[in-house]
Amino acid sequence: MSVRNKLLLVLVATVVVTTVAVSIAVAAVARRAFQRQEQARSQAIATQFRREFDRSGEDVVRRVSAVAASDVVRRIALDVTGAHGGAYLSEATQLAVSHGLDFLEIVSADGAILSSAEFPARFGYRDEWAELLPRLSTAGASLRRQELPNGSALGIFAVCAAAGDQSLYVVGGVKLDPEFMSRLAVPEDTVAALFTTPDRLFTVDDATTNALVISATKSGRDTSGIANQGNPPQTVHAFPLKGVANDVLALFVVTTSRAELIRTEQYIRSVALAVAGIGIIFAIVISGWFATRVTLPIEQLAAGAACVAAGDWSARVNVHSTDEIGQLADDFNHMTAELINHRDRLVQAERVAAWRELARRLAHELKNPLFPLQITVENLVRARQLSPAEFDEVFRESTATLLTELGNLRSIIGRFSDFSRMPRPQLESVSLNGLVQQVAKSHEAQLTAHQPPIVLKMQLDVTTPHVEADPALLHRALSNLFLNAIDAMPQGGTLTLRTRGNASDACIEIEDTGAGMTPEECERLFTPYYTTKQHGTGLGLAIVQSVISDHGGKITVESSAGAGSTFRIQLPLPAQAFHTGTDEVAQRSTEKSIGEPL
Amino acid sequence: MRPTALRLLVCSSVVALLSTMAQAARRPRYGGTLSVSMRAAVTSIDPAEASGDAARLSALVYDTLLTEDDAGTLQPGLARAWSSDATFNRWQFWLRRNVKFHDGEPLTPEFTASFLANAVPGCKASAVGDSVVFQCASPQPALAADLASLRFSITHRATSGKLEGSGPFAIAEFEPGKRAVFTAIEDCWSGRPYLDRIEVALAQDYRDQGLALQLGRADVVEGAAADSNLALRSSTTAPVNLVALAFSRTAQGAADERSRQAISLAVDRAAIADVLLQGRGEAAGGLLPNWISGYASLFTQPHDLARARELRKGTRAAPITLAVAGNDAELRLIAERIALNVRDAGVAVQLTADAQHADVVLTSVPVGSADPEAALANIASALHAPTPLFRDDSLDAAFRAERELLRGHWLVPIVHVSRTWVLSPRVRNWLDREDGEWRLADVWLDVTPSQSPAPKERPAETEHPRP
Repeated sequence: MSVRNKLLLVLVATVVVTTVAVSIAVAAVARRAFQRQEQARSQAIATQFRREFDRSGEDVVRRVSAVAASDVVRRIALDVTGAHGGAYLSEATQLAVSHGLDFLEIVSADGAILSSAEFPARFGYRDEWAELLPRLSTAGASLRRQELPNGSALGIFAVCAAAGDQSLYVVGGVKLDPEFMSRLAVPEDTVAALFTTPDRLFTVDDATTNALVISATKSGRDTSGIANQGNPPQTVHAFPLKGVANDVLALFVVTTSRAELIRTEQYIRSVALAVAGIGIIFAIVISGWFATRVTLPIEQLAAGAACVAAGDWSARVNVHSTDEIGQLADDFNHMTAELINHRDRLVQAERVAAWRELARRLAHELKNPLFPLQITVENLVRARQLSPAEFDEVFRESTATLLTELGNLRSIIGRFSDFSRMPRPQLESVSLNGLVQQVAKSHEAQLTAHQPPIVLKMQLDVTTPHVEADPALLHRALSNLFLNAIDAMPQGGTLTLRTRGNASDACIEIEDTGAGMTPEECERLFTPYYTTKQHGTGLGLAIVQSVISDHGGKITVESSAGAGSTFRIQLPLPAQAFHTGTDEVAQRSTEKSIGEPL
Repeated sequence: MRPTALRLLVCSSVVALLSTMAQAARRPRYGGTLSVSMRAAVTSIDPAEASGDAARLSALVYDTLLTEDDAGTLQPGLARAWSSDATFNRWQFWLRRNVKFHDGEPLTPEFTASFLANAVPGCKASAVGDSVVFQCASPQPALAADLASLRFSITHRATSGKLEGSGPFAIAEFEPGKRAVFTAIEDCWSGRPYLDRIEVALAQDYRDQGLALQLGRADVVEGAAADSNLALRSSTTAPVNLVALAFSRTAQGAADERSRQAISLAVDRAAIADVLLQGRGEAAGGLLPNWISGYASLFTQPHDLARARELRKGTRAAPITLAVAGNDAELRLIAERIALNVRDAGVAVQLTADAQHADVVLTSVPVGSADPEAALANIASALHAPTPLFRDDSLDAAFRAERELLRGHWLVPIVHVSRTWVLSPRVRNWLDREDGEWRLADVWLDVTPSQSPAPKERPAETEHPRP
């Protein structure tokens, strides 16, 4: 990935992450604000409930006091004789109706019910507040669960001693019913309800609400939670309502729809998405511009470096800035200029060295035949003093020697001439396997004659593709390597010819089992006029390298002292030349040794 | 004339005038509409299925061969005389002549014999002259008493489908559970009743009845509605209703006898009788009230919570469902009290409206007869108990039969309840009967004489020999 793309990606990612983070933060803040607002609203409704409760309580106290002060109750207080008080069975009912009370009990001092409006059959039984009547008669209204024939009901109750003394009590109350709840001003999306405790009648479908209610009942404290099973989800606040024994008799539950919060969150999410989208586009544009501005000099530097790497040392970078990039561009231009200078000096030096080497070689090569020529000519001069017969003998021998050495001189000069006049390759499609087989066949006699014998192994991959090459030059190069391998194994050994191909190139390997070479020898092996042979010119491998190079290929050597050498020629393939798979290669590869038909 | 003599003359004239007016006020008057209000929601006046207040209304329309007085003694009805042989295998009833149903059809011995032909199992009825003879395969000592029961009323299905009777009143209107109107029969065999019309408002609670009485819209209401501030006359019967718990013999919840006995012991009957019924009831240990049987004290059931709790130990803990038969507020109140009492004994009771499937049902049953055997048969039938078997018509046989009915505590008597009728001042000649039966044919209203037709002569007293 380019620096520009990386920079672009980093900038865009930064914008997106920042936008998302801001959105989440805003949503969280909004949620907290909503919860605070919703909590405050629930508390306000609960406060309203308690105020209404207190107001109703005062009303109940007033009504119960009126009942206690009535003539009927005074009469009962005067003539009450027994616990059953059969004469008063319907008194409570009539008094309750006339004073607008839902519950009314006339209770004797010992707590026995004399008359009950809500449960007439309960006469004679003890009132549940029997022990508390004296205290409660001065304590105002309280919450109480009243037993009824078909269950129980919750109400606001007050106690009043009849006629001022404590021989008779009136316990009266009103129901905490839907009518009571309807007096509460509740917002539209909020529901206020009164529930009895879970161990009695209260059950709801929503498990969360149920658990919350149970928790509030057990702890006796205000509890809040979220019921997710509803549609929409709701926030539930449960306020325990306690009786005189501080036990939770009911729960005032305020349920608020979370629809508004969900709408707000959705709105924030939508805005965040829109902002993120716009931000991303803006970021792409700005980042692109900025990245281009930042990376263009770098790209120019990279292009210049690529040109230098490709050999074009004249590449220049046109950056006109004063920052680090500009400094870097200046340094690059300076570097390439210096490289060219160094190259020119190096070329000049190498040229001088080459000429010196050539001169040395020429001197060395020419010195060997010249010395016999000089001796022969001097012998001929001295032979003029001999008899004609002896002169003729010496002349015949000297002329033969002169011809031989002149032939050698011609041969030396021919080789130098060949090296200087390497022809341009005439490319055609060549089968490497066929070429290798031809080379092996042409030197078969030398192999056969060699003592001790050299075994030839042919490991030719039949899938090795054809290459575009000059068959004559390539044959000459392979022959050179073949003969070098034979020369490297004077004590005999194994010569292996191997071909193979891959997607990009074809490969020929010539491997011997000779004495091998040191790394220093390998390094200088392809230098012209360098040879490890006693009578070599040092031009053979230079010519081979030249041929391979002219084909766009590469020749390398792997060798170590005592382990033989392997020369590897890699030739580039024309497009789509390699057309088989590895498995097929393995199956179709062949291995031949000398003695087998080539 | 001297002034003193003149004063005496004037005074004597005034006294004579007032005396004449007083005589006139006591003299029966024909005409007027008697308005009756009752709690019962009567849905049928068919005598074959009527009981309690329905039977009271049914008796206005339909006649039986014999009737019972409030002492349980048989009196002539459509039969003016009756007799049996010594073995009680053959009974003969002499019918009144010229008795007609309300649609004009004559009530003949042949019709009566065919109507009752299959009424008494084991007996064949036939007309013999102006009498009906029952020939029974086995002795039937209670046959005459049975035939005095309302379910043996002689009825006739008119061509219109209406069930006609021969009583002093005919059904003019009937809205089941709401209202019934009866009109006087001019040519009734027992004489025209004084009243022209009786209007009965049904399913009225005590409060509404009291209000109707105070506003002058009702002449006869039930007792609990009486307003002590009004100078009203009331008529209280002997305990004529039995309030009892009847356990279902098929319900699993009622299968345990110890639970049933525990419930019986837990109920505070005295409190129910004294407080809830305001003294109109008597704690009941037996099925028959003492005024009928005379041995009710032998079945006294104590209120023993400790014993009830002991019995309850080790029995099933599932709640017992208790229902109230009908829609009676008073019964409902008693049921609530019973539930409280029973809960004290450790028995969980759940009140339910489904009487069909309840473990136990609280029912109010009219005794129906002053005769112990007939009363027991009525009670057993109403409470779906096995029909009692009587060895003979002795009191001992009734006692044994009642004891058998109470065995196993399937039936738990709670209270016997009296009926009290509160009358407006204009109701005259209301005959207080111990058994609570009405004789509305003899009642007249203290109203301005209307254009009522001249009454027929009431028939002379007929012979009514005891068999």
